[in-house]
Amino acid sequence: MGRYLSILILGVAAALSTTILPQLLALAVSLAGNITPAFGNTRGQINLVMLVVLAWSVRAELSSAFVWAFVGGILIDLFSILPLGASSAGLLIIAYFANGVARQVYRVRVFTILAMTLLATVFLYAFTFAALLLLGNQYDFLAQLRMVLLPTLFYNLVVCIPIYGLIRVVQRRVWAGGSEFAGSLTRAAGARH
Amino acid sequence: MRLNGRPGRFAMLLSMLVICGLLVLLGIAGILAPVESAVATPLYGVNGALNRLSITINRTIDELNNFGRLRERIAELEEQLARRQIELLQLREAASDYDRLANLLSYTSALDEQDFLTADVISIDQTGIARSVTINRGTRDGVSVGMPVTTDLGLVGRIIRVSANASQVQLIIDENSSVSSRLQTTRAEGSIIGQASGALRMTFIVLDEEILQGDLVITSGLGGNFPPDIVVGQVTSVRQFEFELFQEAEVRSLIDFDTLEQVLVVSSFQPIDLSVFDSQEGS
Repeated sequence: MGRYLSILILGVAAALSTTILPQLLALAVSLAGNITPAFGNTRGQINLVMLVVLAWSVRAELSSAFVWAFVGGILIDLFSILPLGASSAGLLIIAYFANGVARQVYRVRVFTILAMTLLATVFLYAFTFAALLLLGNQYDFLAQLRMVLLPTLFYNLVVCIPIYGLIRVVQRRVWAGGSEFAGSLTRAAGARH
Repeated sequence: MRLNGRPGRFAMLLSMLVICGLLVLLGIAGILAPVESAVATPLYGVNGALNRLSITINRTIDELNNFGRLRERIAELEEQLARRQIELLQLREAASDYDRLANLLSYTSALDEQDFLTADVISIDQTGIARSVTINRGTRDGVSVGMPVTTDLGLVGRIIRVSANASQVQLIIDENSSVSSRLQTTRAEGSIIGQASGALRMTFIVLDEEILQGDLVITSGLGGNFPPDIVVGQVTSVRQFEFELFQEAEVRSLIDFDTLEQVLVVSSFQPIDLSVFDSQEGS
């Protein structure tokens, strides 16, 4: 069921990322810009779809994480200038490593999620930047770093823990009686012994 | 640290990446356009509604925040309105003279002949790096790549990708956007380039040309990518260095690109392909 749920949850995340969130952030930036010029003209975004995929991948089966990453990437690309499938590739790599790291640690703590979010944000940014360059676009790397990546990192780190908590609630409900939960437990037990 | 225990995991990743690679290639070739439209259609509807909702919320918060300043602004604008009304009367006189002379010469303005198509903005680019928006008009409505997009406040951008029922618009504030423009008063030519900060800069203005602060910047039509005489913005400051060949001007668009709701596609305009001349020169 988690696989079908991905379309709904990621669809909502993508819709929010392309409509309400950028406008609310633009408003917040303009308000903050009145207080301190450091916020002025920045245009970072919350990578909601990436954060949802990351949170799901930490506890789910790898195959399920891949489905979420693939669907999430397609949804990102439908609303960006990137060709279909480009963001999916980036999210698949993030899901693969997030799932792999989570298998290796005894317990996923807040620090782990924060570190994963930081690395995933930088990776997805670099991946998107490279994809846009390959498509023939040119951007000022340093300006983009300052205006887009740094604020995006800040926003993502602020919201990653609540999103992880929400996804955990969804996972517990979905897996209560589902086969994926049983499979996940068996796998986790196997990894520890 | 060993990240994965089974070789199957990595093989699974590789096979998924291959699928993504194929999708990208098919997407670039344009083969996936119908599938893309079918998948995105329900999302476009939801996004359109959400976009309108968020704009309403945003404006309300913004207005509440600026209540004090709005009062002062109203007084300022009322004063300006009075002055503009006088100017309007003078301009109406000039316009009637123009109409009379234009009729005499059987001259019709290029702008009068243009057809516009209204479109709703349904989403903003998610990458954060590129500056583009998606609108709810596509090939079914006669939209094609290269068509300019405007609002009543000026130029928004141009169509860069089209599906059956939606199109992507590269905003003029994107770093890869370049618009041939001229200053309205001095007729100095230049090129409007988007900045990473979301601002606009008019470059390649010859040093001898005079740039007036507050002057309107309009499209020149050179290069054939945009029709002439569409407002792009207003000059806010000038950058001039003796050791450079050209001078630059910072330009502020009158459009708030974060809260775009509706736009107009200039459907009668077809960009002129000048690349054929490049190939002739090469051969």
